[in-house]
Amino acid sequence: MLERIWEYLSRNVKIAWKSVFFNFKQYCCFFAAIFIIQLLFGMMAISAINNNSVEYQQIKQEQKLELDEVDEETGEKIKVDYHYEIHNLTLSQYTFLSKYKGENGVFDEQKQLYVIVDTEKRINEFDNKEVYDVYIRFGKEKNLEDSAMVTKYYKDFEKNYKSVLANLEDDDVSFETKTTMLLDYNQRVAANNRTFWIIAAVLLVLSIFLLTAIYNIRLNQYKFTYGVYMTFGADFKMLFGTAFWELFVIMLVMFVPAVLASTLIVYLIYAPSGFAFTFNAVIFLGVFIFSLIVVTISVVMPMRLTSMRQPMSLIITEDNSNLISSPRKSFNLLGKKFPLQYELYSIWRFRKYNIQLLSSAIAFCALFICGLYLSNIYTTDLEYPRAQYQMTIDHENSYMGYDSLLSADIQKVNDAFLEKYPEYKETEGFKAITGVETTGNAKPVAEDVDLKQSPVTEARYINSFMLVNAKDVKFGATGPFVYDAKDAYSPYIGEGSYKVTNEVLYKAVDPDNAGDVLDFLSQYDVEGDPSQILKSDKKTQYVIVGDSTSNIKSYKFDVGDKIALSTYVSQVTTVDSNLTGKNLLRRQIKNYEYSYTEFEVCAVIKDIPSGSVPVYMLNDAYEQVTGRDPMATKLNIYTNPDLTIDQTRFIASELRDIPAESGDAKIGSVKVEDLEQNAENAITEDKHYSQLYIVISVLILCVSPIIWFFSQTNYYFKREKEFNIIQSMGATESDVRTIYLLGGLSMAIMSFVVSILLSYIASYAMFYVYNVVVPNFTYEYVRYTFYMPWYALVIAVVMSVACGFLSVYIPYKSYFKHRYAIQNVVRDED
Amino acid sequence: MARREIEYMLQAESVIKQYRQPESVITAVNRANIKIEKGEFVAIIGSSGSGKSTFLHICAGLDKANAGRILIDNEEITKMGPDELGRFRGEKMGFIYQRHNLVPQFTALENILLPTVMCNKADASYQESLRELVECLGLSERLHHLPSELSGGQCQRVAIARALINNPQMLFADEPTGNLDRKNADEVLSLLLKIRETRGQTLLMVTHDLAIAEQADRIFRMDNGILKLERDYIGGNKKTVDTF
Repeated sequence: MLERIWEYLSRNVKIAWKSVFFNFKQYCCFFAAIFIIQLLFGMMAISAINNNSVEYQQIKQEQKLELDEVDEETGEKIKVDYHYEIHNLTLSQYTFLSKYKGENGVFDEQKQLYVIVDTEKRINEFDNKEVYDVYIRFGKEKNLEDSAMVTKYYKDFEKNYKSVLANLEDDDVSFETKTTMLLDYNQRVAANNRTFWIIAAVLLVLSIFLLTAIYNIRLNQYKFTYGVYMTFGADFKMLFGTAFWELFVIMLVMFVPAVLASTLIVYLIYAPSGFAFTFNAVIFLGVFIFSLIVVTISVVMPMRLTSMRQPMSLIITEDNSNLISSPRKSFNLLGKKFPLQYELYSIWRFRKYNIQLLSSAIAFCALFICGLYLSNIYTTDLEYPRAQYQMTIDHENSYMGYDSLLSADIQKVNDAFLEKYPEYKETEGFKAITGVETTGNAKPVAEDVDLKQSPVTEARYINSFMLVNAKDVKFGATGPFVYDAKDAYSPYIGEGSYKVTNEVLYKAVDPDNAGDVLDFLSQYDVEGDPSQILKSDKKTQYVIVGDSTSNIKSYKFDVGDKIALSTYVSQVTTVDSNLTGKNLLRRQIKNYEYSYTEFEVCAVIKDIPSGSVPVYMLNDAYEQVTGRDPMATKLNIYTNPDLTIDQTRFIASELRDIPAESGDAKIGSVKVEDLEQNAENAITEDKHYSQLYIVISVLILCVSPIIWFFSQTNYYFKREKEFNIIQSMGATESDVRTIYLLGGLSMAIMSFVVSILLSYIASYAMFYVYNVVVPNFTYEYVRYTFYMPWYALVIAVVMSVACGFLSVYIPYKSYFKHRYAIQNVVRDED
Repeated sequence: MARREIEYMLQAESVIKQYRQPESVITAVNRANIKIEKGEFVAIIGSSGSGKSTFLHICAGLDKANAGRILIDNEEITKMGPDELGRFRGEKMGFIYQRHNLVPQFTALENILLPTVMCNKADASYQESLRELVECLGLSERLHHLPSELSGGQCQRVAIARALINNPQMLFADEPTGNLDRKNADEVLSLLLKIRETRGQTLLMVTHDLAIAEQADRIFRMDNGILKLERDYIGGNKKTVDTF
């Protein structure tokens, strides 16, 4: 059996091998295309393995807890892994936790769920109670690597211990828990793998598209031959078999070079990180299977379609007849200039071919731009300031004011930090290291971040909505919809129809501390005078509004425009709870009773990152519209990205001490959440996405010339006979040269236009995806500015124009190599 | 009685064409000579591979001879450069191939008019010629169709119209009906001859169909590259002699 399979394989490979290498020129493009496909997949697979490895090594490095104990051998402080943090434990909770470390809360030396690797104790000045922060490692062994066991212990802990801990205190004191990246590693790897498979699927589609496109070009050239074969009985099986084995041979030849090249490229990208490079032999198998799938699918469809056609319909494609769009009426050639108009008319008749060629070849240039855009976004994203900590203040349990007291206390963190790390006093980066914007230091972060989250309420959560003049809504905006409010609302805001939306964020501005907000808003493109908001009085209340929803401009507000904000009063009839979105709002407007407050727009913010449109108003107005106290509950804290893990942990510890040391807040009234942004950034940086995308983009760009030259060479080869015919009718060699030149020039011009167009579309698509689509999944409205990456655009345009022209030049040279080519046409007659 | 001065349209002298093979030299045309008067219809017959088409192509300037001279209307085309020859061909010659060789992206009408575009001549002069040819060849219904949408006979008619549109003085036809059935072949040929006669054009035709050749004024036979006169109907006598 095996012998027969081997015989079958070797027979087909031998035949295909001869065919491919005998007609090597015809298959050059396939060698290049399959090499690129294998290289791309190889790079992706190797980088995915390395990403997981780098992530693990980085996490191990980041999550090491430095203890006060010193290693006797090295003399350095001992560092241990840990999986879990619990903050603000009371004495009784801490005692329970340190005593019962076994399963089901019962201590058992053999089945110890966790080890407390470190404890920090604080005393709250408000009530003199002791508070403990505890760092836990699951499993008894010091460096438990069995992630499944760690996860099991963690689940046991969550199930059996947390509720017991909570029941130990009757008071409303709450503790905070947090899992570390080390514990979440498995989930992170799973997420990485999911991403890998998604990208692999995209690459598969792209690869099939590429190879099918090239194969179709070849098929077009050989339709006549296939038509003849089919006349003598060739069927799909035979046609497919021939084509498949030829590409299979090419795939085999390029396999090892592609894997070696991809390994080398990824190694060069990852080497600077200093982490050990990982390679797995499974990659060989992966690349082989991937390219086998691509080759098979790329050949199946074109061959299936060919075999379904009548042989005669293939035989008549000996010239380029099948590429011509049939005209309804002839051109009037009388008196027309030759060869200019001759070639222009020809280009028009071959428009189907030209469009296919331009779109498929330049599509890869557009993909190149997408890749570079993506790379750029990763770089920008890494630089984008994100909070390392978020403090949430429970106002009911705290006497701390939002700004004055808290910011002063945060200053203490800064001072304490510098006390511990005096070397930073001498550096320029000193202020940045504090990472706490609200201390009033120089801004350590980019200017487009809402550092202090203003008191905020989303309209939809309080059954409220914004009512605007229809003329103020941009055409095509999807959020606001037409609402005939005349019966429900006395239209102060002018004549005409209204539109409503509840995709609105109400934001409060404290008149005593408005400077911070105005400073913050001044970073944007603002029309009007935002400070006029402070001049609000009973007669005219001002608001500052954004003009975008989901980062896309939706409104055409001008200064002086009126808007009305509704306040829910009562329910007249019930609303179906299954309704959502616009349907829900429509029903709410119909069934609820509202009161309305009218505002005048004093300033419009043009480019603020936004999910819902922000509306800033003074505290009183905020209270009136929302019915809520204008109290901020969250504070973002940014740290310098270069801080070490110990330094950031120190800041966290100091932040947690603020309520304890200030003496005017209960334990748990201020929660400090470590968002681990610095660690996340370090991991992302070590994954080298940016460089990877650049390399991938360049490889994708290399596909474009393959399509250009392969397609044009075949196209002009078939036109050679036409040039011979027209020479027999009186056209000179110069005329034929001019025809080639015109063909090249027209392709260059069309490439110029199409490449700019497609590049713009590609850039806009990426911009749209990252500004509008991605935030729907991440809930983080980072607003990227739309731009055309000019260097990428120049490369794409130059490449397309050059290919457009040169892909005609090569057939031209080939044609005139046999100067008396006219003989060819006459030989045909013999 | 004044002696009639003979005006020759085509003169070929000692034309030799050889193809070099790795181990041998094939002589396709061996010292061929011919003189064709203006308005004359000459047919060359011979078996396949005898070199008749090669000779025709050399006479039309579509191929280069290794030796010999070709004069058309007393102008030596063998001395012309490629561009000059191209222009000359456009003005003086028309060519009909065995296969129609229409330009695939242009319609029947556009194909017919292509030679006029290449000469860059004014349009008005062609209107009458075009109307006459279209009517005579029965193409009026198919003018806006691409060659791929026409039958073989229709394509050949278009090719004839294309060869005649410039009203060339010298017509070359290389088995113009070789790809057609008898009925179509007779039809196309009689149309071609009718138009030629009306316009007084010179025609040199290669064919292996004796029935067609017999309509010529003179018949030559090409045998292994050697051209011999087979019949001379102008002189009224059937004779087989070497010319010149």
